[in-house]
Amino acid sequence: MTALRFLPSGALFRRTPMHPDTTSFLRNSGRAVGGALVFSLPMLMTQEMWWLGYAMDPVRLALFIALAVPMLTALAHYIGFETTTCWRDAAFDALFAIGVGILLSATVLVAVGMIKPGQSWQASIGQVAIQVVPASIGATLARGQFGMSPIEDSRAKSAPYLGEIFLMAVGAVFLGFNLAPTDEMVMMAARMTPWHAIALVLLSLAVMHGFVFAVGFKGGTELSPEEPAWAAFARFTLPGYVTALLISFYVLWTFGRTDGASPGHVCMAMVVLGFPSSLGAAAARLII
Amino acid sequence: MAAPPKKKTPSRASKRPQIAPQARALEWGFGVVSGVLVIALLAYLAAQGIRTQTPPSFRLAVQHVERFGTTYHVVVEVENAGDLTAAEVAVRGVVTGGEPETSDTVLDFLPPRSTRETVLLFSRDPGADKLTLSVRGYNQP
Repeated sequence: MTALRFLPSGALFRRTPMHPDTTSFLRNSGRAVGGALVFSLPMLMTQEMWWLGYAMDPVRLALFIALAVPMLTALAHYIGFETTTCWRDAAFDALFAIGVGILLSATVLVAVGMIKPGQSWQASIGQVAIQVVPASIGATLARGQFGMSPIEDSRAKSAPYLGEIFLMAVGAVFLGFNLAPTDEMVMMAARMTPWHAIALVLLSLAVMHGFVFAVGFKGGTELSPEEPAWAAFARFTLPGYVTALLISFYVLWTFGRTDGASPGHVCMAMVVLGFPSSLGAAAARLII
Repeated sequence: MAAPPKKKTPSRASKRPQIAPQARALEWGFGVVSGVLVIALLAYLAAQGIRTQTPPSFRLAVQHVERFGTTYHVVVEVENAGDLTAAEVAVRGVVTGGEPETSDTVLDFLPPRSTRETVLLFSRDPGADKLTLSVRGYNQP
């Protein structure tokens, strides 16, 4: 009980200000762990993720995790905790989510026998590190998502335009990161012709635009009925798709999928990964 | 039926002024730049599609040789100069001069106009003797 007093006054206890005690801390932590599990189990049980953890460039992995801190902070600020009012709280939420991600990934990887005593420390650390980002996205989302009241819901949706683009980017990172490490990405890009890629670009744009309309964008950047469809396409769908493509490229680069590859092949791989990423971007407002 | 649109219009009008003209310009700026990028991507892909696709052809080059204990690691760069991807590219190196020593390795994917590195292991220094590199075959993915 006394140990918990060392925690910053913010996020963890604000949910139930009446009882700033162990119960609320445990409940919030439970939420975070649950969310992290739901979001990261598919990746914890993907074999490419196990060996990429120690085979990939550690500098790129470190950069990815370093960039995740501001990303999670902004995510916590926009959606995370209903009571996360200042950036300091949001930063604390982000670090807490990363902590949950590390503990959970390590626990699961040990439990399924992927981390064993005979293995080197470097390999084990890499295997956990690569799982941290998706797990901590899950932890952050879950803490904002489960048990959200309508008032909180309305706050979450009043993000400014750049905030909307940011949330789309997070959606793209999440779904893109899920699929980028698999060998299937390379196989698809290898089998496709440039014409397939063009069709996939158009399909991605169509699906995204459908989402943009279905979900609607509430708040300052709301789509109004008198606004023609092409205006929404230009303001949300196109920037959202380009964001998804850029995220796809970044994730492919992080996993070393672009090394030694020609610009043509990189474009193909980017378009292939861009399909799920753009879906993640468009659906971000449904999930978040 | 006419009532709901009437109700909506004032709320819409009251919301509109909240958006600053700069914000509007930003949104349209993003839209225009993104549109240009997507059109450029489509044009690039179409240009790739129009070009005649040559089958995979390979160039092999020794990058460097390193000795670890009793083993010589020959890092070989394999380039696919064609327009189609090759899968399961079987690379073979033979050291001649004395008794020939053969080493094989397989690259799982080699995308068009791209390079990948692979490593062949030998028990004697391939730099001192003659090393012949070749691609024995590949699969069409």
